[in-house]
Amino acid sequence: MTVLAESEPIAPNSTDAAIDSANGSGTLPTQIRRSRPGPDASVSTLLSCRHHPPAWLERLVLEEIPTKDDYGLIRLDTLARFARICSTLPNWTPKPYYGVGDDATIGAEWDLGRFHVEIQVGNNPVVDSIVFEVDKGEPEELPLEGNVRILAALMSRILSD
Amino acid sequence: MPTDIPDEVPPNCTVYRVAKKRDIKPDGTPQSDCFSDKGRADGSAYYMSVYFSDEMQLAGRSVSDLQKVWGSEYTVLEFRASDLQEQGERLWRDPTDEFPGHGACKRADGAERSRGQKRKLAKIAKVVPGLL
Repeated sequence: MTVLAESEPIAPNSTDAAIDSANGSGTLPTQIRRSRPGPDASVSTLLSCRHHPPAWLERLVLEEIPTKDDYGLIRLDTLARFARICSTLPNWTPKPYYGVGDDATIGAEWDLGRFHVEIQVGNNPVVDSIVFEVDKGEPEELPLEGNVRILAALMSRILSD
Repeated sequence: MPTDIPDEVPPNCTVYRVAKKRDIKPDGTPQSDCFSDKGRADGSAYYMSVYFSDEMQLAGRSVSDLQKVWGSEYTVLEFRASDLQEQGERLWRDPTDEFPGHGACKRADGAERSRGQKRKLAKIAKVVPGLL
């Protein structure tokens, strides 16, 4: 017998499992529907674990990015992935310029003196990337997958210069 | 499309991209997010909408008219067609009823524009003077 993912029980407090089930099809589990942006949102749960994320992150993820998502393109799992990545940044990282692209991506960019850093997180994780530039030279691009620690280390190094 | 406009976009043609003013940084440069292809309903990317100056001029419409059509929360960025082509972009005409000169811009290889490629466009784009 085929069992649809939406009908499978979700363990209480299993935020990651719930987010993995949120596929943007409009059939989100009750747990996710209840936790769409607001004080109890799932991304908020993610932000309160392990790391001390930058102070601007919670408001950015829960309010500011959704406000810029004019067409409702960004899925909740994408927003949560963006939050997880940014939560690894040094907590003194300044607030980025941010935006939502027509291709269902969230972008964040920092102009930090000689350095320019950008990240992109999309509904399709294949497009997740880091862009790094020194002295307005040629942008270097890396996939975000497997390189989140590099992003955090890079930012830490730039901010300590 | 007017018959005296060549199908191919001339290298010296000015290409306009409409962007939200909120996506322009305080130093007057655009964020890379301004240069995303527009997604289809199924989530796949298609192309980035642009406007070609030669058709606009022939129709007697200015870049200020273009901004007015979009509204006061928008500004207009400009490129030379050759600058976009040198960055690996393909341009083609794609007329619509809303405003003359509408066209499309996409990676010449058909791929989705990467963040680094968007960044390169952000570095060569200029806000049309007086429209910010």
